[in-house]
Amino acid sequence: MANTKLKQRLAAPYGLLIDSNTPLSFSFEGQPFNGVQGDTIASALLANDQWLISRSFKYHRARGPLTMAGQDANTLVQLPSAPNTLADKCALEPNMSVTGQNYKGSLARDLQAYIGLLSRFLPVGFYYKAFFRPRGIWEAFWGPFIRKQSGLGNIDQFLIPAYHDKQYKFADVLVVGAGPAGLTAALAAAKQGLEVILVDENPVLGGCLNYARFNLDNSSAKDLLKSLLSKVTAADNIEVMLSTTANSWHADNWLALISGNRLYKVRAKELIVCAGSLEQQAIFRGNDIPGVVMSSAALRMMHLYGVKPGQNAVVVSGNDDGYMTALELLDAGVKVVALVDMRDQDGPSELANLLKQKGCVIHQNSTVYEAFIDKRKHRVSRVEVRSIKSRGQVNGDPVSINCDLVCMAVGYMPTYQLVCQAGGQLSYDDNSCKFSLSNYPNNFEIAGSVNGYWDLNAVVADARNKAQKCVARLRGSLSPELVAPSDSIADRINFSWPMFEHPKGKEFVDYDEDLQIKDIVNATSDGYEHIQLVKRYSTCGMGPSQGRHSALAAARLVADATNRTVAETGVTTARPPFASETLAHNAGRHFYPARRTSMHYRHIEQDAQMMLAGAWYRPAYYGPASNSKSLIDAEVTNVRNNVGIVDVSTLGGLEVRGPDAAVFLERFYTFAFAKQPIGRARYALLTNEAGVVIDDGVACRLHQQHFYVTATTGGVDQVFQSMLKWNAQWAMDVDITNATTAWCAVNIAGPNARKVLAKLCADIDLSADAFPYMGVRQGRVADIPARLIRVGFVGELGFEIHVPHQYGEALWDALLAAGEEHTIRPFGVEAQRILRLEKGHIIIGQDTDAMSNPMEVQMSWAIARKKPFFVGARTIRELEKMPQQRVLVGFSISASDGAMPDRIMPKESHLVLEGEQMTGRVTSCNYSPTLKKIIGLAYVPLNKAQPNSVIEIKCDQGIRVSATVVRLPFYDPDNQQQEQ
Amino acid sequence: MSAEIQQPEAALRRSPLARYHQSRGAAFVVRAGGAAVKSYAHETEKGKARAQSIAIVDLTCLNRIGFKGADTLRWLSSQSLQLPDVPNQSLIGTDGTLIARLSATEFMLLDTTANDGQKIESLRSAWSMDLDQRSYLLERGDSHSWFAVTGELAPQMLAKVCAVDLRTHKFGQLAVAQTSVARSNSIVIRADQGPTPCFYILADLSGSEFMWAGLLDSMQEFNGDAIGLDAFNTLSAT
Repeated sequence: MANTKLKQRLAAPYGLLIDSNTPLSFSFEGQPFNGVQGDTIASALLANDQWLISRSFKYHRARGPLTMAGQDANTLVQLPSAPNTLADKCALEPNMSVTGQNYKGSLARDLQAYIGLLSRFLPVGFYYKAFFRPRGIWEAFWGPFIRKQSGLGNIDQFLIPAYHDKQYKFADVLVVGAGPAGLTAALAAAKQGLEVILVDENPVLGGCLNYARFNLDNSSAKDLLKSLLSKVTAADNIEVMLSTTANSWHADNWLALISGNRLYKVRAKELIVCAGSLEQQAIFRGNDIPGVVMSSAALRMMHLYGVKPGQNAVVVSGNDDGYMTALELLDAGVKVVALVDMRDQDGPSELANLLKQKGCVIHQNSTVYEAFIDKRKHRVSRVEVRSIKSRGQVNGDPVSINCDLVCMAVGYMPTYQLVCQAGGQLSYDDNSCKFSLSNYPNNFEIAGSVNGYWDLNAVVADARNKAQKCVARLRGSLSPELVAPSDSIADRINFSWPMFEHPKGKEFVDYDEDLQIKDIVNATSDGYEHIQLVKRYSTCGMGPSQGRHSALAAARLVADATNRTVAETGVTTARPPFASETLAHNAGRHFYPARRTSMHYRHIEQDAQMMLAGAWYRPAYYGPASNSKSLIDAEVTNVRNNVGIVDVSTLGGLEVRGPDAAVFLERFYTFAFAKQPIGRARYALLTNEAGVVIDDGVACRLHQQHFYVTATTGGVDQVFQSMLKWNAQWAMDVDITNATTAWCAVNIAGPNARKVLAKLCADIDLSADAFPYMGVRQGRVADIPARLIRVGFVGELGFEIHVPHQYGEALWDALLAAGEEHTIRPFGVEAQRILRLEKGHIIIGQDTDAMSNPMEVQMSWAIARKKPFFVGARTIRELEKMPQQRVLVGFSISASDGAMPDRIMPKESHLVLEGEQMTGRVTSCNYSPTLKKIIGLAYVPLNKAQPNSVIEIKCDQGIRVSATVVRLPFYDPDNQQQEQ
Repeated sequence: MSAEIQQPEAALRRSPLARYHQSRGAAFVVRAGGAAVKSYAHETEKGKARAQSIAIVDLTCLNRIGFKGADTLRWLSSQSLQLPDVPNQSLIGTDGTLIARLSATEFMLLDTTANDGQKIESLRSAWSMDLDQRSYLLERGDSHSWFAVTGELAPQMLAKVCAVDLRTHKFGQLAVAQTSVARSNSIVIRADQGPTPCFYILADLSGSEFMWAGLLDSMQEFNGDAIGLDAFNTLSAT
């Protein structure tokens, strides 16, 4: 039965964010609960007096809200599709199903809570010292055990992420944080006509003005908020983004903002960070018990969510904010049974007197030394207060005070993360206990409490100053002479040493990792004295809250243990992101920029199995996958005996034009092009400066000043870039265009290719004499303007027909229609690979590697040796003087050699062995339906390069087969087929 | 005059999106030898209102051409064309052809006129490698898809896929940006149609479907959809 009565709700005006008239039902740990619209999961649970929300990572200690701002890991809960959800940040939704996480049994009765009792056996860094003896114990026991214990929450492995996307935003000034400083800075910039984006992670503007008390009657905050809100709302040039987290800063003020399921990418000309400060905890035994909270958390509970945080409160204070919190609690009907002031001088007398009048006992120069838990309610029930003897030491004069709420108000750290991500330096003054940030970039300002100002007037003045500086920079004017505001509060905001070690420990420095005072001190004793080493050794600051509440305390403890100042010790580095972000935010929309040829849908309609070749979709073969081998073999046979067409649109196409076109190619490729006749194509082999083969294609001379050069599908972009680079370097009179997409192409190949093509070509004589092998013609095919090249990659009579992209489908249709009487059929990439292998043609990138030179791949014939220069020439000449180590040869295997195409066949990268020594590798291998045997290419040492040499290849499962080296090509060695 | 056709197969030139258009009940019209979408079945009399709000049009079949090289400025000037003075600017010629200057030596001409780009055709005919000049023709119709995103919400929608600030007070009429749209190298030209903001997006033709799907997806939250040439042309007639 649902808890219909919300036990701890305060009436309006408390509860700024909630709508009490809109109830929401949800469940927690399987039990029904009620909340209201505007609640977070945590506030709704607190309103139901449910303070136990999670279990700690290591010791499984009971944990509840600490900050009520999503800045700690104490409220991590499990949602059905999302582990590690911050309950104090996540908005309550109707019928939400919420459970705790990291427990065995139930949240209330965690069977693993016993681990806390073993804490003295689990000292800091114990995992570096254990688990490895006796030998094998890790694999046998500890590894599986720890793996089972580790991790927080459960991932929904079948989750289909909700739609996430991204958006750019543009601003003259981006203001992060919409508290008093942010609102003021945004207004000041907007008044100057600038476009301002004002971002805040909360759902309302105002920041601390919505809950914190700045003077006795709290009038100053209310008045300021009212004034600022009305002006910001009226300003057309301020775009307000609420519930939005500025999660990371990148170079040139590029910020990632996360709002809901969208990642905003903002490039701001000027940035003003007004991110405020993070309240720090007092460190005493039991400071993690549910009900022990930051003072600001208690204020948020009341003012934002209308939750009465307790009945009897103790405030432990090291600054005046504790007194203000006590007053707020009293106003809300909470009895403040004690205010424990750590300071040895008198606190603010006016406030103290007021509190005393209201029945509050003030313990000066004292601290909460230990908090005790009500084990049934899982909530604080009592504290022990002791007077302070010296820094971190207490007297033996305990006073026991019953309470159900402890509010800690001992100081703040600036929300330094964005600033430090931008290279800012966080410094600490050991005397005043004040932080300061410096060294952040140009076009970057900080204002308000993040800049060390706490008095409201000073905060506002600081924000105005910073806005003025931004305006001046944007307008290119001199920076105005600005007077830094004075602030009487700043020196009293941080208590110097709010840490009291207890003989029994459990005074938590880092809640995320259950790290106590002794853990940090012992890390230094183990020799890890640098703060960065302490972090890594102890894991302090490495949990979900990323040191928000442990960095200062750890720095103080390390400084003390190593006889240094906090300033000398420093704090750990802050890196993006500020808060956790999902992979879905980074991934954005699910679109893959695949490229399709103009014939793509014809392939689909013809039942092609498509494959990705680089970014392109290409048909692998046509027909059902279940019958792939016989289909591919049939496609090969059809080309050899009849006629087939293959879509080769993905081939790179480069237009090289200009007076120096031939000279350029002469320098760029290994072959000679200067005297190449118009209407002829030449093989073009490309090497780099190291003499390594990096691409190949054909260069077709269409005009004295115009070459159309093809390149490999995967290599064309690199070739194009390389051409541009060399053209710039050589300063030649050449224009180079990557026309890969502009031209699509079909290769029609097979003995009947000419007959089919002749039906579509009225203006080109296709006869062998008029259009010989390696000839190039321009004309029309099926009334489509075309470039035709007689090349023979597959080793048959063939014509590559290149037409403008948008005509591709019409060309494909026309060829199939014209070839119908010859039972023409398309073939795919798989058949093409077999056909070219039969012909002994290599594929750059498959049959070559990062070291292959032309001699190794038997392409010395493609090097023009009379020309003075080409890219890689010098290296190749040197290489030719040296003994060659390997060569790419053809090999064949017949069934008698032990290989069976359907069971045992070498694959690419299988090793060539000589005894047990690796001497080479296979680069291509397949069964040839034409030759009825397995054929392949492999690198072998020179002593095995001669035909009829026998090489041994290690196949899958270690099976070795013998192969015989054969002369290339395997098929049609006299080129009678392709040149007919 | 442009002839209406039932199927894109009736034309030799076909947009890579022909199947998509067919699936949405498009009626086709021949433009520059290609099958362009006249209108879709889902379009109603509110088509113009949608175009004024947010819509996308496939102009891929329309005529366009490019020239680049050291002598291009001189050659195009000799063809009685007024040219933009600086790169990344465009202008509308007297015959309605949009001329975009992509660099000091590179230009692109786009045609949306009813005459299927007679000026472009005359340039294509006049140009030859035999002119012995350093100006080289680029068949932009086959290298780049051409989409138009129209409507008041277009800048907001395009901010989801493009890092350039395309808001109308920042990115002026006829400005050109050579940038990345939806992870693809693209040319963006602001070419308002009457009072309605309009952005031409030209990107690699082989990635047409990726780009189209990505843009269409981006405009879903604004209730954007595809429109045909009829609705598109009403904008400039306003």
